Amino acid sequence: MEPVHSIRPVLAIAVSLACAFLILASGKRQNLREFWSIFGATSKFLIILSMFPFVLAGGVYLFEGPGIAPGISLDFRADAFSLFFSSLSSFLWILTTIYSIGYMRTLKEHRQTRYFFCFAICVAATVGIAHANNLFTLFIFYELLTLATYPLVIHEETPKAMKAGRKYLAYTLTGGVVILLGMAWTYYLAGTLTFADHGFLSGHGSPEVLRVLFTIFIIGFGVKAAIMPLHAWLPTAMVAPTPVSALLHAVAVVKAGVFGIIRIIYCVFGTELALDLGVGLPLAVVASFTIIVASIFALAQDNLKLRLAYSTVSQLAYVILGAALLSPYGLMGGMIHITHHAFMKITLFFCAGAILVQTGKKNISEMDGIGEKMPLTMAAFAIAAAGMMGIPPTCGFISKWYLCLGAMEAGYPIFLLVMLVSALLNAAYFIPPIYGAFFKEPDASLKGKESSWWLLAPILICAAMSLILGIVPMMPNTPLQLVMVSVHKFIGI
Amino acid sequence: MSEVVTSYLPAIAVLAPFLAGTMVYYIGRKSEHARDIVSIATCIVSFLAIAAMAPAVLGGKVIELILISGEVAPVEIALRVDKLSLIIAMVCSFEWILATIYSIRYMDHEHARNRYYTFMLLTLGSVLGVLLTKNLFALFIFFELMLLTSYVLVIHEETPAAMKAGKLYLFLGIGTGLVLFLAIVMTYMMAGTLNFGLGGILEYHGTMSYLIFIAFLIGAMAKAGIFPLHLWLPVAHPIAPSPASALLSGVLVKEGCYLMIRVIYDVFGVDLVAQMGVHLPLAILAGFTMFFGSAVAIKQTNLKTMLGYSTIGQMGYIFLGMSLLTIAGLQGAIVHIIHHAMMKGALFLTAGAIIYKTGIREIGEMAGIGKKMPITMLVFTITAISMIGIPPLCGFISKWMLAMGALETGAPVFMIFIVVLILSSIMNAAYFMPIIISAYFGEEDHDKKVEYEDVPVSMLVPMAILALGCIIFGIFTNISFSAIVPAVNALFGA
Repeated sequence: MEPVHSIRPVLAIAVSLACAFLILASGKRQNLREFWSIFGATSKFLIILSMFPFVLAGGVYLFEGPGIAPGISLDFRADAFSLFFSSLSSFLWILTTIYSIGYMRTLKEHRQTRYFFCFAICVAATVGIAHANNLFTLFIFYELLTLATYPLVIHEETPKAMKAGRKYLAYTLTGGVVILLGMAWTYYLAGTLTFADHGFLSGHGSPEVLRVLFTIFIIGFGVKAAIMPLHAWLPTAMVAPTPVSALLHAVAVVKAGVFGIIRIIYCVFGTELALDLGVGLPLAVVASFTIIVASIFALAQDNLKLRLAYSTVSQLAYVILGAALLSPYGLMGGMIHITHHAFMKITLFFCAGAILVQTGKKNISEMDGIGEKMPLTMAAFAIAAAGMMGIPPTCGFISKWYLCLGAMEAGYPIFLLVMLVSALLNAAYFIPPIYGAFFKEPDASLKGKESSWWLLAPILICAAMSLILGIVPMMPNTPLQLVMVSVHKFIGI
Repeated sequence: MSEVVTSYLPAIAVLAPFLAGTMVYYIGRKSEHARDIVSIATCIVSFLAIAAMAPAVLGGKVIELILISGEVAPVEIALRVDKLSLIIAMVCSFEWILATIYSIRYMDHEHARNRYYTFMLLTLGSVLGVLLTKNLFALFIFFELMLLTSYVLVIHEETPAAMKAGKLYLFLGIGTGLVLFLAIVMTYMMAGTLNFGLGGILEYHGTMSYLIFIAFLIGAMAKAGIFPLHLWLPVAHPIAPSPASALLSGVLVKEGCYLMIRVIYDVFGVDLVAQMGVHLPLAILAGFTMFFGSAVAIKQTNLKTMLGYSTIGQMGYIFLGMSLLTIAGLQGAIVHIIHHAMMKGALFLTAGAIIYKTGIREIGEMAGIGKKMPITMLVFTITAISMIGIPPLCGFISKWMLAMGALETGAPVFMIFIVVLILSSIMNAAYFMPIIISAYFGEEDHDKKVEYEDVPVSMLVPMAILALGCIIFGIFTNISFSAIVPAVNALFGA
């Protein structure tokens, strides 16, 4: 199917950039400011949704932007994989905005205008990454995302937050430089940076050079994707307000990293080349290492948000493992886990935030008996945690199903064991908080009740989505449909 | 191939408990009476829905219904009722009715009653889901649901001991569930389908076949409480409220047996299992479990724990029957699923009745109880004698069929299992007879001499029905065998 030129891929980015400045302009009037946030999120989502029918049928939208240098221009595209990521982040932006309003107002946080402004920029950058047509465009938005997230990480402006911010910048900017290096080298080798469905590096450069180049890209994107040992910034960044941890550090920022890795493997190198180079297996091993070790780290955390952060590190590695298997089912499992993990993890973070707002508790050991005070919140928590363990009928089970099929298909059944051990570890660190919440006697100091609907509604919607995507994952217009179109294009089943 | 018809009856049977289960929690807040009635009515609805399918299914048809089509789920989620599922589902749902009726009075001084009835129904839905699904994928989903919902029944008392037992139950269940999941993944990649009723979907793949078989076996053994994955059973079964214990020991462990029958006869197929030669090690494992469970039961002083170990031994019988790969052996396994459900259900209910009236759990304190609670102890006596395998009670029929099955193999090595069968029966007598004797003839402890009567009628009737069942199924064997014989023939592809 011929690509169709359309402004919609750019419009989706522009609408939230515009809203960002409207938010800034209406800073004094809280309700108007919040209206712009919700308006931006909703219209962005609708624009992206309008591209679904054509893209699901196998089409691609293109938008050619201004040229920067010969052969490099700011081009945008919307293929199935782009929409897969952009629809996810914009949909969750709507929910996070609603949640943020409740969260920031209840806690009477300072500098809310800056917060909502940066949030809008972040989401614009994320969609920019999703809709990038070439490595250069992707890189620009990738760096923008880093910078726009910084004020959110240091939002509290305590010494601890400032320190976390410095660490965050040190890691991600270094990662950015490494990507820049890889990008320059790629351009030198191939003379183009435009993504192609089966990669464009084949036939350029010797295998040794390409292997080094591949490693450079993995290190570069691996920082945001939190591959061990490049993950250290993520747990530290948990000082940010909870909605930031929820959307950015479970969805947008970290998923930008894994999105980049999938683009590199499949649209720059291509499946065939990656198989010839033999780079899949080492990456899968590194991912497996991350899956297991991060889960063990998670076991040791008493702070709920830190435990969730390490769980994120581990779950991101599932995505990378799936992509590294270089098999259709594996890629399907990896890609769909981007969505599934997003819904489950955002539920968990939202719950952690709601508990913080209502009771002031941050540590799991202080949350005994909280199920009695906040039954709906904790029920949502339990559903999402069950999903992390991969228990049916939650959506985590679907990811696991495809990942396991992928490991078999790729001829490496050994990774089944990794999935098994990881699921057990997940059970070991997610069951105790649930158990404590429902079956232990509350401490006398535990006060609080169910949170307001601003907080509760997003929690319940995300938990419900975690179930719906697990029961009927292939309904029309669901993420799995986009994934199947992408996998078909990238590998061709 | 048998004729396939579509019907909504299996969906009613499976989904009604899920729907009602979520409702009774809220109904119970308004009226406990209404909650009890709705719970019992739901069990009856499920039972009737299954019973209504009997004429068609026993007449040679297979009922199928697609719940979630393969277009929106990775693997089609469909219900399927054939003779095997029908027989077991009917027994399970019937016993559920009895246990729920029994619960009304039994639970009246327990806490968290709304939660109890909610999870009783959710567990019923999961159990029937396991039995009535068309493929392994859906079966696995219901298996996991069953684990989570029954967990809440196990830990009902919320005492430290119950929580500890629950933890073991949950983690062992999740761990072995994962192994089962991997077996299903491997099967899907090898066979391309997970459907039942095709008479063996796997072909021989060398080591891979053995790996898959072992993975399935681990999943099924842990559910059925076969040695060495029995560890959770003797702690988790006794700790639950007695009607729940009756269902855990009478019904839920049978899901593991059901899975293994499906794996041997529908996933691998008799020929492949025989070719791989895995049935002999399986039979040895089953034989050891028979011996082990019965031997350990003798040493128990707590009645419910003793019954738990007894269940382990009895699960060995069922696994032995299916691993003989003979028609009589499989008939023995299936008929023992039914018989053991009745016997062990009744025994746990009597143990519950004693706790309800006197609070006594230790066997040593039960001397003379037969005079105070005559009907309860009569039920206990009938079912215990049946467990020992004395005719004309139903336990004898099971053992007879299993011995026939061992003989039918014609292999001398299988004759050893007849010896194990006899040994196990003697041990059954060794742990049941002292209780019966001391209940009727023992001297009551004078310090604790209190006056009490037998339990209320609503508790007596369910027990009595099960005991009556043990007699009827022991004499009029045609009732069960008219259904079991064609079911076994179908599994053997005859």
